Amino acid sequence: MMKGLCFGIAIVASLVLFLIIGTIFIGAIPSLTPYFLLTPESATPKIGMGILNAIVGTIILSLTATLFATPVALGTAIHLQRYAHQGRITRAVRFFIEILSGTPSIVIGMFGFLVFVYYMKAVTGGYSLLSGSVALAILIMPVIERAAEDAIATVHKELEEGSYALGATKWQTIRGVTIPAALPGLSTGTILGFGRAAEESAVVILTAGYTQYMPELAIKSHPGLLFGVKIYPVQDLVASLPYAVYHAYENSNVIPLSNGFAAAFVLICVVLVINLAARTVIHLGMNRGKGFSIPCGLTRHISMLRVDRVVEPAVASQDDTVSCPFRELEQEEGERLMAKGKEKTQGKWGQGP
Amino acid sequence: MNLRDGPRIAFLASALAMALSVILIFGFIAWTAAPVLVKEGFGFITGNVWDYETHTYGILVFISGTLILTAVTMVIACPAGILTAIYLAEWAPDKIEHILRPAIELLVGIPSVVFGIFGFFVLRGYFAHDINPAISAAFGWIPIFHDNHSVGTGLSILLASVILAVMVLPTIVALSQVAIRSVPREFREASLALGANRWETIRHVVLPAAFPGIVTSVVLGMMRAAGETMAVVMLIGNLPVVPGSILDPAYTMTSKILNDIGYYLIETEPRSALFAIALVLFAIEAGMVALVRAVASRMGGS
Repeated sequence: MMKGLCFGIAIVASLVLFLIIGTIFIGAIPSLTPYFLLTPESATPKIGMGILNAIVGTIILSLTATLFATPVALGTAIHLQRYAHQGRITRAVRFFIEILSGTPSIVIGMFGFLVFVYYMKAVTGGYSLLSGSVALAILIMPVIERAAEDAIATVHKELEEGSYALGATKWQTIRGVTIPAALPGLSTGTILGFGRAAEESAVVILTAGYTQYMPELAIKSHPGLLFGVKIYPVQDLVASLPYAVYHAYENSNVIPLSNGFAAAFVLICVVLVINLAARTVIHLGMNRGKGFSIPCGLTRHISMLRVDRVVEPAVASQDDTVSCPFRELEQEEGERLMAKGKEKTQGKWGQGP
Repeated sequence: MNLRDGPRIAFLASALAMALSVILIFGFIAWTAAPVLVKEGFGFITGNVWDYETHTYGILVFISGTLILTAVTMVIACPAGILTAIYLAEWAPDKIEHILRPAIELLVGIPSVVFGIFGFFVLRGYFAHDINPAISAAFGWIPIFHDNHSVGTGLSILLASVILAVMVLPTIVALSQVAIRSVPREFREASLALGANRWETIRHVVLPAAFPGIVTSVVLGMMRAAGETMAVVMLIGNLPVVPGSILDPAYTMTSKILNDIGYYLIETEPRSALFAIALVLFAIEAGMVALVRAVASRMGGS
């Protein structure tokens, strides 16, 4: 009985997904034309008749935000996982990151609005790509950082110990072993951060503004700004899909409903494609195990990256609980590499841990 | 210090930069909010009049809106989320799980503004003409189910919390499922060996063991619900009264900020008042983070 109840609720919960996407798709069909998708709003006779400016704007905004956020987030993750000593400062850093990831986006949005758009208008140009992407970067930093930490934490100890045993320094080990081994997880984290930036609306509305025009590349004189010039598109307004959807809601008496749904559908597609890309990366890099299984596909990845010497300890450690479709293949490859390693290092690498 | 310390210092610097930016953000928000908080004192939280003309700022209306909305959302989302997680973790055959789990996790990827227009243009009509009147007719004798606005627009706490429940569902399902899966198999086998059936095992053994993880997932869902802006601003009706029933419109802290910040940013006092709302909202979320940490540390640091 309980099984049936749980099953029913699980089915309903997942049907909701198809219901929402389906309804929006059906509502969007009349507007999903090449003209609508490939025309910037500035080139259309009425408002809300084209969304190319918003599509391009969303991609540029999210890319820039990811570019700002990724170095800091990855650096922080590596520090916390490999360099930090357990102490007051480390605990404080972790606490602040958790606080940041729990902060509602509207709070980050209003901070960006006041500081970047209002106080620093001379530098950022007010509502602009720069303001928007810095605010978004603050928002997605904890997302990338958390995923990167998880990825680094799953790297086998034996791999790194092997590297140290070869006399590599900490930085050489991190660069040559840890980062390549954690690469699928790191890229997934970055892609997830990109997706989080693309779907965010409150922050974008308060910091990036909206324009009907496509982003353009230019430098024009502008007396109000620093150095008297305005750099396009960095200091210029930028449109975004979430704002285009919100526009359709705000001006629903002017813009046909199907246009709003079409913008929403395109936004869903963009975000779903990003999420699927993240899944694909993690599945390519890791095995398709459930839950917490140790990603033994990583070793394969490492051998692809030609740090083959350190493959051996991980393969030699017989971890029977790990389910891995590539296991046999890997073992073969590992043995081959081991043999190669033996030749090279004259038998010093024969013993497993 | 020499050249070999370079990477270590770079990583330390980025960690410190991240921590400092958080301190900076919240220091700045607190500093901006201070004048109104000092002026209003405790009355900022207990007062229910918000008027820019008379310089009175009390946010009881908005706090109650946020808290009631979050509570109703969790009442809808918790049973659905936890039962789904139990099904996926305990009963689902691999085939079904491979279909259901990605479908539910992909719900995370739907942007909140899309939920907003879906609720506004699609669900609102049903709530205005069918669901709200039906609930009011059937349970109207209980005050919290009574429709106080007989010519309803459909915009109500119920509509907003149904949409919010769908938004937080994936969080609860994914994290609860991990918690349930991480209960050791021996626990289950011991219980089954004692003659308990599957459901008895789940209720008396698995759920108590997974309880801290499930609480964490619920609290994270609550944080998302309390901090959500776009969908709420479209669906809650933005009526600044303390709601008497779940069929009433209300006004939340997040929607107050979004609706007003554009008009009042350049005036010092209203700006300070709006940032004070953000500070209170932030305090609520920080309290929830502390709760998650407390629960997680009781789990044994995992």
